[in-house]
Amino acid sequence: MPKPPITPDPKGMDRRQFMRHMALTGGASGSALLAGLFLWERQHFVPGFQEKSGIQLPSYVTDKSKIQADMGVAHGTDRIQTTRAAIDALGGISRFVKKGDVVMLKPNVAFDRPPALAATTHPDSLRAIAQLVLEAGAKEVIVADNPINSPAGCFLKSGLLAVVDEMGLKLIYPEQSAFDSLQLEGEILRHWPLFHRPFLKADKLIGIAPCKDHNLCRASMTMKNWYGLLGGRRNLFHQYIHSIISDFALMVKPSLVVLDGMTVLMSNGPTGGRLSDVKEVGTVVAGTDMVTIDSYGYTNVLGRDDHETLEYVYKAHERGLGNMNWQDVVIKEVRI
Amino acid sequence: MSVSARTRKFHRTDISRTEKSIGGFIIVLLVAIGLTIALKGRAYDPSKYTGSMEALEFTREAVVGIAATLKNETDLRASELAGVAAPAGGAQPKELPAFISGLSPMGPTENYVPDTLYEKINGRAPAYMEYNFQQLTSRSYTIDAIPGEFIDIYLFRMDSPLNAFGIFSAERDDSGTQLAFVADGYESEMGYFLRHGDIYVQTVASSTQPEVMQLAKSYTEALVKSLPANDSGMEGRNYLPTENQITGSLTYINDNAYGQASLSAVFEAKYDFGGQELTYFVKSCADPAEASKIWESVLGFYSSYGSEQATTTEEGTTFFSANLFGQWASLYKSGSILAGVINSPELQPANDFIQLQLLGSTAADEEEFEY
Repeated sequence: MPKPPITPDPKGMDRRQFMRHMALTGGASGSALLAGLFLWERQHFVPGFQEKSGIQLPSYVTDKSKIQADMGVAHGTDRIQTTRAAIDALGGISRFVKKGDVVMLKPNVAFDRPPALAATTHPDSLRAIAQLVLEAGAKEVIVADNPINSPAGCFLKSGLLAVVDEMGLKLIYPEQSAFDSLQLEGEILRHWPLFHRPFLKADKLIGIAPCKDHNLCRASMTMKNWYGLLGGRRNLFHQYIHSIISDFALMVKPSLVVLDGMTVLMSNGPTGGRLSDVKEVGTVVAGTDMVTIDSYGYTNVLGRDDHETLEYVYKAHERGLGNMNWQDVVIKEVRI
Repeated sequence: MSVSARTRKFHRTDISRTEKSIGGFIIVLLVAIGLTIALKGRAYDPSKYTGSMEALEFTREAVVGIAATLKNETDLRASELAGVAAPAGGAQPKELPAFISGLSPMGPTENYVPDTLYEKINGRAPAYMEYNFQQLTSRSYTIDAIPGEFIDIYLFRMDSPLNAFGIFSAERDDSGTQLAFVADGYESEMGYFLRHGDIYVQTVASSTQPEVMQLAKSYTEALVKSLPANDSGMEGRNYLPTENQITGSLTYINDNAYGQASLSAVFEAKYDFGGQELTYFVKSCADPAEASKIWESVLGFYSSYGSEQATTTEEGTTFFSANLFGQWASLYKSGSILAGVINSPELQPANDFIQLQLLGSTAADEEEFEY
């Protein structure tokens, strides 16, 4: 039996209308997808999607200048002048700090050692950088670290408390209430108490690390410095020391880091205890890529084997968190 | 039955006003939700959603097997503090006295056990744990006459005088000056370091000022007098000759000496032998059988990885030499003693040195025999 002819429904749509509706629907769906992709952040944890969540530190990176040097290296005898020269070599502090910024400075105050033993950030390093930051018009300068052992004693004996008082900086001690739970997709660091209070107001973040020998990870430099932000029994990570240090390159995106190699603890680190462990090197390195700086510092400041790669530096490089090939970056080196 | 009778005819009907209104409302609602999410996302404050103790419990689950939690830490700290507060004898820990006038304590005496040592010396702790660290007692003193200056005292108690000597020698400052008031101790530029009994003492001064260093020295001397002397187990170092021994080179290696798992409790020193620096070690075994067992293990290693091996036996003493990665080892076993020169750039001086030691020990044996 032959099919009856299809009669167009006078109240329906014709082919043209159908195609137009399909195009509109497709366009709307595509736009929604693109908008989702644009708004999607890899580390963005949406409350409700996970049973528990923690904080993440925002990026404090201010400048990815292709014109200025990636790394500034200064050699000299005066710590303050050499530190200023290293930052000037990068284009000056104004590249990183603007007028009205609240700037957090993170020294390494791990031990209650006198400055001469080079186990902690030297007071003159802190003084030099705080001066620069204040000269740039910073509204407030916060100084913070979590030394575990008697923070008051560590800040006092390291000489940093005197600088804080002298320059009117704001020191935030690691009280129990100053910690929040970190959430990170690190190799080893996932959820852990983080010394968070100093970050609440900070617009910019600068790490100030001494370059020194370390019993477990061979060298303590700018990446290792962020270990001082962790709370809890953080020594439990010591057996995964290279993994956790490389995680710090994921956890923290500082505006600037400074590696102080004026006097270097060459052996018996990280505590030292004898002046014979300390060597005058007279170098300060500054930059934004911690992986590059630590790679450079290991060879050129600590003077370790040129052909040896520090494991945590290699890990961070492999994870795309920085560039360990310091020979490939733009370095401005000055002598004063 | 005809096809038309079995098939429902397709009719597009008018979309009613209600339906259009509902559809429009849904679209507006979706747009509003999208805008709200976008606006909230801009003002997203992660700290609003930070973890409480419950979140930290979740942390424990997340890192189980890898790390611990604050909950565990709380438990542990409580037990540790209890342990420190009431040691085995039940007595309360004593405050470390100032011993000399002119010093004032900056705070109470601090005590650390193996589980808390990292709180004081952080990443350095594992080096001390290798030598069976037991307890750290620490206190700081300000110097009354010099504002801003201070001294820090550290008493690391190990499980034996041997291990106290081990960590002391591992950290030794080769340029230090020998102290007169203790056998194993030296003055460094900014402090005093010594081994007395099973305690490794460090006195670290805040500067090199002579007045500060003098007070640090006086304190250390008084402190040593208050500590019990104990040299048990230290006899092994007497096998190392003192003649031509390089000052400050005597070391005790408690485990895995020269990468040999079988070689533990070894004394080592460096010697100036005719202008050449040689490293000589001695291992005193419990009996000849133990010495033979270790000897076989060490020779097994050199046989596998070394070259130009040579073995000889003379008057009950077995000699062995081999080249390992360009450096020579010349070893011997005699009775319960296993000794030798390692990492020598040349074989002949190493052989000459151990022959000299054997002659010396023979002479000593003969003297004892005659006596």
